[in-house]
This record gives sequence, C-alpha cells and structure tokens, in this order.
Amino acid sequence: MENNRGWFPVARVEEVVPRHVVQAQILGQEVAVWRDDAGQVNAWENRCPHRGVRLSIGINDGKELRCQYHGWRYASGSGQCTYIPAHPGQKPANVIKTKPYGVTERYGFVWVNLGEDADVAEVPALGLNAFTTLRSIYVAAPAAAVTGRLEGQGFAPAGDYTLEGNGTTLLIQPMDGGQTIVHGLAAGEAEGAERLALLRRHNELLTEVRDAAEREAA
Amino acid sequence: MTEAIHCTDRVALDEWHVLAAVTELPVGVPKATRLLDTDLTIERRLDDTVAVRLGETALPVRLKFGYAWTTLGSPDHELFDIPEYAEPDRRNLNAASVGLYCSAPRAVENFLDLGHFAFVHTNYLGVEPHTEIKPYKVEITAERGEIVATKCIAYQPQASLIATDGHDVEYVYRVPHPYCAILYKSNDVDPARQDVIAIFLQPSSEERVVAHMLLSVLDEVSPDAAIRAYQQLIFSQDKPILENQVPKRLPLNMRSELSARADASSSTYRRWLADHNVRYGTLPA
Amino acid sequence: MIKLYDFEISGNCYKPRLLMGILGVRFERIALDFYPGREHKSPWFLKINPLGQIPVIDDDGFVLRDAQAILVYLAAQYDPSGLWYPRGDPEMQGRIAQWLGFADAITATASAARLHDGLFYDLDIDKARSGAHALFRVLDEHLWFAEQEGQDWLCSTGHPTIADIACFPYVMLSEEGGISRLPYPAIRRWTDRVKRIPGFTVMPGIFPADAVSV
Repeated sequence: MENNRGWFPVARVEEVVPRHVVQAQILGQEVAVWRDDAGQVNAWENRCPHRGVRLSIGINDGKELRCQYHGWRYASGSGQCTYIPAHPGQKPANVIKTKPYGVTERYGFVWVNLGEDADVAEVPALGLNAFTTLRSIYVAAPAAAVTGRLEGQGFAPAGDYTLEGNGTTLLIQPMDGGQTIVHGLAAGEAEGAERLALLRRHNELLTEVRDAAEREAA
Repeated sequence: MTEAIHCTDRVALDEWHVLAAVTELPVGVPKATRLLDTDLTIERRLDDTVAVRLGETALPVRLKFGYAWTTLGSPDHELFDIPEYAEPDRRNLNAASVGLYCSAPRAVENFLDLGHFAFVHTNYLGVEPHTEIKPYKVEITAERGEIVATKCIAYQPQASLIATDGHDVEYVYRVPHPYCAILYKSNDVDPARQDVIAIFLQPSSEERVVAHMLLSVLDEVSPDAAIRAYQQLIFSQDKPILENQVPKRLPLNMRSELSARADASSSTYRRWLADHNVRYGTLPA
Repeated sequence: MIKLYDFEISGNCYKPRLLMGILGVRFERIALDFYPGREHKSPWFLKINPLGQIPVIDDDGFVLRDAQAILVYLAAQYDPSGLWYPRGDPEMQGRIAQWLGFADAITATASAARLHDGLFYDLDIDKARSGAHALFRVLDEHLWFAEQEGQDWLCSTGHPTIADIACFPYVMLSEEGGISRLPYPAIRRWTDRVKRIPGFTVMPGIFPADAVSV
C-alpha cells in the first residue's frame, strides 16, 4: 500500500489560475496556493508573518503576493519579503519571509506537503499515463466517514488516502477533523461531449456520497 | 450568585467593560448581552439609568461617555477619563456598535496601526505612494501607566467627513485599558484642538467582540447620521482584515509575528499586555 | 440625475452603485440613516417604498424599488451594448431572471447572517448559514461546469450580465456572517473575475483584485 508521505492534492492544475490565490487546507493547516505569471506554483502557510492576515485575501500581482493589510510583498519561489511600504527606502530584513510548503504538480493536480524537506519523489505513483481530472467534491464530514461511504460504492482502498474503482482513482484530502475533499481522476483522456458527460456522472455520484456522509455525520 | 461566570482571567474580571450605547438601548426592554463568556441582561429604564444583571444578581454599572459599563469582578480603579468629551461644543456620538469575529486585542492593535491606511482605507485615510510612516514616539505615562504614541503622521486624502483636500494629519494614540484605545487627530475646524475617536471593545468571548466607537468631534455643519456614516465606512473596511487574522488571539511572544519600525505602538502594546498579565484574548509568551 | 436612496454598507444598495459605475451612469446618493436610525422604516421613506427597504431609485420621477428590479431597469435603459441584459433572447432572459431570484435567496440567507452577526438582528442564524451554504454549493457547481465550457459568467460566455452583479455582493461579504468560502473554489475564482470588470468599484468590506498602479 502506497504511503503518501504527507503529499496531498489540493487543486486541479487548471484551477490555480493566474492572478488568483487559492485557499486550501490540509490536516487543519490553511495553505495559500498561487501561480506566478511564469507558471511557477507556490504553497505557503496562509498567514502573513507580519500580523497574521490570511495571504489568500491578498493580491497575486503575477510576480509577488501582496498582503492586503499593509501591502508587504513576498517573492514567488523564495517567499522573501521584498518591500515594506511603510519603509519604502529600506530592504526588508532577510528573516521576513512567508513559510513555504513542499509543492509540485503531478497527474493534473497541485500537491502540497506540510513537512519540512518534503521530497517530490514521494508523491504517490498512481500508475496513470492518460487520465481526466474530475471535479473535486467538498464534504462536511471526516475523511473516515467519506472513505467508508466510498467503499460502499465500489471503491477499494489503494493506498493512504487513495481509493480505486469503476475506472476511477480517488484522492482524499483531509482538510481537518470534520471536512474532506475528494479529488478524482478517470483513466483515459476524455474529450468534448464525452468528457462533459463523464464529469457530470462523477459529480452526481460523489454528490450522493457527500449527502450520505453528511447525513451520517450530523 | 446562581449564574456562573465562565472567565477565569482575574485581570479581565476586575476591569470595567463596555456593554452598550445608552441611547441605542430600548427603554424598559431587557436585552441579552455577552461579556467574558458570560450571559448578562441589560435594561435601560425610563429615567435613563441602566441595570445590568447576571441572572438575578445586579452588577455594578457606570455610565460614561454615553455608554453603560459593568464589571464581573472588583476593579481597584474607576474608568479612565476623556476630558474632551465634556467640552460644550463637541459632537458626541456612538458611531456604531458592531459585532465581529476577532479578539479585543487584535481590534485595539488595528486601531493603533498607521501602516494599513493606504491599503485598507484607500483614498480616505491613505493612498499610495504616500505610504511611508516616519518614526514616531511611544511611551508609557508615569501617572497612569497608559500607552501614549505621539507625532504619528500620515498623508490623508480624506481625513474626515468635512476634509476638502489631502494633507498630512497628525495623530496621538492612547491606550488607557487593555481593550480600549483613543485617537486624537488634527481636525479641519480648529487647528488648536483635536477630534477624538475611541474604540471600546466589549469582549464577548476571547475571539468575538462588540466594537463600540465613540466620536467626540468638532463639526459645526454635518448631521449626526453623516458623521456616523463616515466612521461606519472606515470601520467596515477594517472588518475583513480583523476577521482574517490568524491566530485570533494576540500573540504576546515577540517572535511569533515580525514587526517593522512603524509597528512601535503595537510592540509596546503587546509588551504592556504581557506586563499586566492580560490573558483573555491573548496567547501569552 | 438618478437619485439613489442608499446606505454605504448595504450590499443591496451596492448592486446599483456597482452597475452604474460600470455603465458610467451618474447618480446622486441620498444616504439613509439605516443604522442606528432605522430611517428606512420612517414615515417619509415608507411613502417612497412601503416595504421600508433600500435601495430605491428615482430616475426623473420614475421610482423603482428592489435591487434586482433596479438592475434590470438600469441595464435596459443605460446599456447601449445590450449585453448586461440581452433582449430578444428568451432563454437568456429566463436564465437571468432565474439567477436574479437566486440573488434574492442569497440576500435572505447570507445577508441575514451578516446582519445577525454584525448588527444583532434577531433571526435564526443556523438556518441562515445553512441556507447560504446550500445556495453556495449550487452556485459553485454551476460555475465549475460553466468554466468547463469556457464560460466565465453566470449566464453567458463572453460578457457578464446583471445576474453576476446581483449575486456578487452578499457572496463576497459572506464571511461577515460566519460563512467561509474556502469550500467553494469556483465561486472564489468568479469573484476575482467580477472584480476585474472594467469600471468595477468596491464597497467597504470588499477589496480590489489588483493593486492600483501608482
């Protein structure tokens, strides 16, 4: 059984759009995910190191993330603070930086790892060459309840936080003790009307699972 | 006393806390309110006195600055003074009493902060590129142990409701209470005197407050509603910032959050809270 | 000039302000003392709107209440492009009406929660919040599938309509009522797109999507 070694998908690659900040959460920790104009993706602790304001309400200007509170700017990649508007002539101290998490893109998803020295080689190998990413479904229920419901729908565990069945691989993102996101990939690269039909079918199935899991959790 | 008081922070308990603007209380109708995780009722009577009860027990009440204040403990001091409030030509108003999801110390700090004007109050209290905050002075006063910050200067496009153009504005800040802050700013009517704006936080819980905002201003022309509306606008701009700070409680460990020189008031305030052993709404070092 | 009976921090009043700003329509704001004065329930204003609600517009004697109705009128009257409220397209008009109704449901839930948490309105807060989440789920799903077909807006492909304006404010202010948008990534992308509509203006509690170029 594959151990995910702390790597979790948080969003489909196409959903980390330019000039936007995605607000994600893994195991109780909020993460701000954003892509610079050169395409590099960042995953940072969702908290400005100055006064703790969520970076996800800040501005992605294509090169830097600007905090909404005091306009402090942080460079893509390093997370280094490059500019403090209250002191425009001064270079910010090196110690002022956001906390970056491990981040990579694989199988059509952005994966994040909260651990230090996360190794991208340890992103689970899903054994998929051609695939179609599906809509991610948020469930207001614990991961175990969601997994239990999925097993009842023909999916079998295939690793930590992974299930397979019905030609689909499901990836579980535990947000916290009571919230879960289910990401999915269908084998094969679907296109056009066929793809839309696949997306809708999967969405319908997972919505039923969601409703059942939430009724149970209530 | 049959009702329980749920807070255990003696410093918070033995302090006076604001509950309501008296004129906003309906006469003869007890209203539920929450202070330090404890449910109280407050009632304004026909003679404009105010009763505060914890269950059946009457609590001490002070009426000051147009607000009703109470305590769940035994303060060894009376409430602070704001002498300007008594000046006969002042317009004294409660701008608003607004609920929000933040801790009282976070709201005090935001009130003291200068560096956010251009980003949160764009085109009102600040605008880029006039973002520089020159060094200002912060001290603890000898007589009352209050924090006072002076020579705080910001360029403001529209410093008040009646301002007609942008100019530098000088602020004085004062913190006379763990959950109260007062600012004094140069006004557009009489350069020798100052407008007074205060925020009094009612700590309903450690992460939820009611912010009551006193305006004591010099303005000969504007209707009350307009003066209030301006302050409501400014405060509503701060709301999403305050509600998006993590953690909600104010960290008193000076290394949890990194400061710049412009944060001198905030750094002093955090040390002051630690020195006074204020635990409610903070994360002690 | 259009008169707008208005309150600065009302999301419903922001709807016509936002659209008029985008269309370049000049207007005069008549500020009501909504809080604490409850001026919207005063006798003089009840003569203008017997429902005692804002916004109301008075366009040279033509008086109209209801934020969504006002958006319809403003777009029909003042949008030369005809894109904000396309006529001659029954399906599109139907769709827009559907989402205007949805916007009203957002007001009844997310705005109610905001009034409860901020100004202590007495109402069933759990029902308001769960109602808002149920609507946001529908909205997120709709926007997600719209994106899959290259559609950026609630009702159309290339251009926003008044449906987007109607649904935006109380979605954007939802956190003030304890309703997080973390579970709704498609909504979060859409709100950024609304903020980037040329002529977009903010209201207190909403920030622009881009830094102002200096």
